[in-house]
Amino acid sequence: MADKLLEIKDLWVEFKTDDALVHALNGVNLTVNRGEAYGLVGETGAGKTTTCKSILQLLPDRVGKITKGEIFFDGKNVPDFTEKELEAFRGSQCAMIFQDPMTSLNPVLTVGDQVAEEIELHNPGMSKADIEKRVDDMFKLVGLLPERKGEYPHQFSGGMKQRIVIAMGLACQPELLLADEPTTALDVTIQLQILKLMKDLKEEFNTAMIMVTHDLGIVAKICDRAGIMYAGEIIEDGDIEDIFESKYHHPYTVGLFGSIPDLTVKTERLHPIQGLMPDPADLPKGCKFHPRCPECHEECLTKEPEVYQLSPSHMIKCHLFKDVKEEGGNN
Amino acid sequence: MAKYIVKRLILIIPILLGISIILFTIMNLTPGDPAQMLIGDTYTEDALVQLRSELGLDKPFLVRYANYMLDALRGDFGISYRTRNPVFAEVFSRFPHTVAITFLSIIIQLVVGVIVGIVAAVKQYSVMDTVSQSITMVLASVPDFWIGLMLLLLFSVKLGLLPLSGIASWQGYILPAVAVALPYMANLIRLTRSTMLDVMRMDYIQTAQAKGVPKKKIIFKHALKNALLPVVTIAGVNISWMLGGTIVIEQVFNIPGIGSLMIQSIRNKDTPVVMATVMFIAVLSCLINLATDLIYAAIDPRVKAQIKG
Amino acid sequence: MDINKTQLEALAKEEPKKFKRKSQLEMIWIRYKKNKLALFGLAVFLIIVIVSISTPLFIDYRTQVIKQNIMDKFQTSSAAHILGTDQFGRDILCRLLWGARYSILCGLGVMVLSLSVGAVLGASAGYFGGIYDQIIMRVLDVFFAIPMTLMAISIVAAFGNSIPNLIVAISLGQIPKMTRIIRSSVITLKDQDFIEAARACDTKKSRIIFKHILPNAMGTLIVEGTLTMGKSIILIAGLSFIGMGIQPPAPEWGAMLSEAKNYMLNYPYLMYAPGIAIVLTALSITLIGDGLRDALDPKMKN
Repeated sequence: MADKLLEIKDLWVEFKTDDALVHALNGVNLTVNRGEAYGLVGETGAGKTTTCKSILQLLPDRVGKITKGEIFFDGKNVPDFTEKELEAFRGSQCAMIFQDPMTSLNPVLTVGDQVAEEIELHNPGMSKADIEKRVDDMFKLVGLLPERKGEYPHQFSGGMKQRIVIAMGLACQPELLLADEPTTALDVTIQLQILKLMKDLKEEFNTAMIMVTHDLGIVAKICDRAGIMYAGEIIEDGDIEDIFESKYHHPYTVGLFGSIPDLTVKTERLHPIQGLMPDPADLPKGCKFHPRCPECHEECLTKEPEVYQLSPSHMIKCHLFKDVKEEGGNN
Repeated sequence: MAKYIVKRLILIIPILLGISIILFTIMNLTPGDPAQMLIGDTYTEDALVQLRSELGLDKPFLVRYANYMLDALRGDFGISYRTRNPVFAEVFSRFPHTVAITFLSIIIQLVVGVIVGIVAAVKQYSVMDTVSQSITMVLASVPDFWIGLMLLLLFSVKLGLLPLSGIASWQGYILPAVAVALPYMANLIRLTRSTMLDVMRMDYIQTAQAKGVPKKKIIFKHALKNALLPVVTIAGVNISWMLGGTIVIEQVFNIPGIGSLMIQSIRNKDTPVVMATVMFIAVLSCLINLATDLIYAAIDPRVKAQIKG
Repeated sequence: MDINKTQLEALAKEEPKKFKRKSQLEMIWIRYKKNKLALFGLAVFLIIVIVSISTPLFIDYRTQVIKQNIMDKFQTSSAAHILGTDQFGRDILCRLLWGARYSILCGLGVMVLSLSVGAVLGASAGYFGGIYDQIIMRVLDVFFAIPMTLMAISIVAAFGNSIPNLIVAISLGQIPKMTRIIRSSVITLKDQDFIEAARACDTKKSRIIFKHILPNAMGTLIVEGTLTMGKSIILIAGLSFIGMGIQPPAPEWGAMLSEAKNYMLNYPYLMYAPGIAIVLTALSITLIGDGLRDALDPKMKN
């Protein structure tokens, strides 16, 4: 039986701006086990980044608020942490790497300093020499020359910057790494390198990971489980085999798969999912996907779907699957 | 780096040339004859002619300009038409007063301006922030000479705390320095606050937060250096503006500084003095600009890289 | 994937949302309106402008502004003279209102002159680059090295202190900054794709500058223009204060202050009104400039 590291229960997050009330997360349920890579998939605006930021309590001060729900990390509810507990928690037990390496690093501090800071913060007794050695080790681990640690971010390419960011994130060997689209801003060839690096490191340190991405290919390569996110909810969740091989899927998931162009088949047009992600300040009634759903029927317009377990591992939030059960479910 | 500095220093020369030409031309176009002004109301035609010749006013424009520049290169800035004293001495004697005011003013601006700006940014939306926003908004639109007058009124006339005019004692420098400082300070507060706010929203600050860096450290180690970059530039510009800007304040407080010297000289068509004073200020201005750029480079590694070449 | 029957019915039941395209100017005005301070600034400024234009209609210069009534001198607030009278018995309010004319006229003049010269110089320097650019920038460096006040004083001393001279003198101090700002906007814009597209269509250079680049740099221009106007009003007051600007008996606010200074010990109230007038005018212009800047750049401030 897998060991739960992170358990998000019914998380609701709101953003209050001058113009509108934005419902960013609407009842998110998510579990990540130790050592497991969980892929969080969805289009832009689904709430993937918000989920990650909520775990670390990094929502913008006056504007973002958790209105309901709990985030259990190793059994403790993170929103209850004091400022000091949070500072100890961030970076050492749970770390996050952000999407754009070009802007994630402080331009006026050396890269070595930025990695060293992370180590120093969470290892107060450590001697300077030990810290430096650790920095060197991390640099080597991510494929960078330790001699370069005295240089500044602008002297590195995008791919190298992302390596530095990864080094920072893993410097204290956190139990959970939140990776927010770490390869999106990089060239395709570099993407593969970085992904391989992350997979290797994950195995070496047994780090659990939430890999946020809109690319199902990445999910297939690196994740053990995945969740599909739409309009602030997880609408499908399961093991990798469930997501890729099951014949039952949420209509949105079908759309996501269907919109991937297939090089082997000659087509005239691409098949994007029709319509756009709804405005989180003005969400549709009933099932949030219903305006775009080809299987939409009467019930969907007014009643929100419940969570339906097709098997112990596979969950879909859609009225279509009310009584469907999968044979040979994965444990 | 040394090459860069030398290059910048050399560039000052064409600027000085340009300024000298412009000024010399303007001064010569001004109606009025300095010799006439000097000699007063009772004079003989011969005496006037002789005075003109003594002052070198009878020679053609270009010759006079050339002579002037050649003399200047040797350090001889001529003799004041008005007092017949060497210009250099005149300027130099006045200089310290203006410098004292400017210097004091800079310190007030920088210290108060930056600190208040940072606090206002960190405690955005607090009472202190809103209040300082309103005050600085008004202060930035107030003429420095009027502040000077009001300060004089309050502290000198009504309270009797500080002297009314002149620089008999060190207290005489306080009010002028404050008056000059206030509008610049208001701008610095607003600038610091706004750059600080911008920096706090940057991604790399979020990265630092995600690492678990405590708030104080984020402000002082991660944000401040970045936020101060534009502030350094503006502060530098402010300083070079102030050098020429004490003109009006010196009138308010009767300070015998460079500003009042300049007005006097322009009115009297005392060209040598005007030329020398302006060129002096211009050189200082260029040096301050150079210093600003160097400080900027010291803080921002990207610019340092550019300068090193 | 086509919409199915259920969705069609749902759509039909929905109220059609009104979709009206608003022009850019309208959008800017809407954003501007949200800013209470900016509106306040605009209101105050418009009042001052209206006052400055309309004063000749209800105040006679010779009898009310200039004429001395020694009998009435140094009166404080009364029914006949709301703000009191000055050392020559002249009504302060009348003088104050009339004084607005000088400030607004010179301020606007400087703004227009420095904007237009700065725009032309800056846009062409930025666009054409090369030696032309270098020469202009070096020449401007020279002007920039001479402090603004000094430049103004020298020119006034040389050419006299008529209003056109004042406007030119002060503009000379502002032009370098304008040129620099516009030049850097142009340089940034020049490399953008839509200019490439225009060039690809073989558009004439001047057309590119005037039709494509300037409108985009307009935002920065306008904001800087308003701020310049505010600064020049203060500068003119300063010049008049030291006697190098508009001279008494003209009721320019700075000149009024220089006269008032002489009576500071006994009649300090003379210094209040002109100073407050300067501050109000400069402040309202600054508020407008800030409001415009925020309205033109719609990034959220949260």
